Amino acid sequence: MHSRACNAKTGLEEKGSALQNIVPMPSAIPAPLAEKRLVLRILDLWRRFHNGDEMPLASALTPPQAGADVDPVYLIDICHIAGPRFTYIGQALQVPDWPGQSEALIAECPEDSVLGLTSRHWREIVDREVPVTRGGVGRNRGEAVLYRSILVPLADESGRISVIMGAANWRLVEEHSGTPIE
Amino acid sequence: MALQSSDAAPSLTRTYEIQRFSNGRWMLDSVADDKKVAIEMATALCKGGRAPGGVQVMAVQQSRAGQFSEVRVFRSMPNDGAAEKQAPAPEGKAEPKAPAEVRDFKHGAHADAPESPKKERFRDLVLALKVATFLGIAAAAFEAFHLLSR
Repeated sequence: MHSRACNAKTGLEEKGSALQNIVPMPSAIPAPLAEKRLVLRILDLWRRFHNGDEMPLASALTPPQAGADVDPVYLIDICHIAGPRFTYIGQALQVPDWPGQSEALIAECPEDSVLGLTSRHWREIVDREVPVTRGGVGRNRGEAVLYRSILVPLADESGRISVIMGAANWRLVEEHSGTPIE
Repeated sequence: MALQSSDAAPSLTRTYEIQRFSNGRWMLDSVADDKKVAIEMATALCKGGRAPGGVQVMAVQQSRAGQFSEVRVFRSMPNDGAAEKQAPAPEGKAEPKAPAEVRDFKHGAHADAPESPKKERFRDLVLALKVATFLGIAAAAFEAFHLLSR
């Protein structure tokens, strides 16, 4: 990968290309698995809220439960009458020029944002009823990014999937002429 | 890495299914689009103690025409010898030979591919030549021995 090769050149570039939303785990809270990857930490969180074979409840697993990872997290209410919509968007995933933000429909989310890129796969989670992680190249705030995301299903009291929790992080990548991102 | 759009619809799509062995069968646990991430997820599942029966990663490849194939790319069992017997792979899946084995489509296909008829014919021809050579040498030796003994 060219960007990785570039990053190996200087420490400054290395620092600049690091995942933007990685927040160090607070030492006061002992983490059972000190995973480097955000997707693995969220997956571990989701598994910790499992009740036997039952899916975690949306009322139990809320963004504050993510602790230090709350900023790159969002929630989707898939049961809304108008269509699936965001009920929470973490600080790191906010789209500056988008008036919708929280309570907005997924269909209206700009595709040139990590939020839009990652949330549009929500239907796959409903179909499979398991967490799904996806990554790829896209655009965020006008810049080319390499992202990785995870979407996990959360159930209501009846056991039906009602909410999807998502999390994503990314890093900037170099854009070459002749290899368009879009 | 060449930058390419995540919107591009490739002719083949490949996903990785992380499965855990529970109640006598393999249950889908999670899905990833990247082999390395999938194996990390499977390993985390093992380390977290949430898959006491074992864990495996299946690479599932599907074409636009709807044809799909799958191969096991990773497996980790608590005691592989015993688990091998009680947890046979679903039909059509490649059987791993070692615990926590990592494979891919290319290597899996090579290991399981039958030999071509052309190769078998060539092997028969070589065997026939060997037999003929041996018989010739034996006949010459017998003749030489016969002549010397006169």
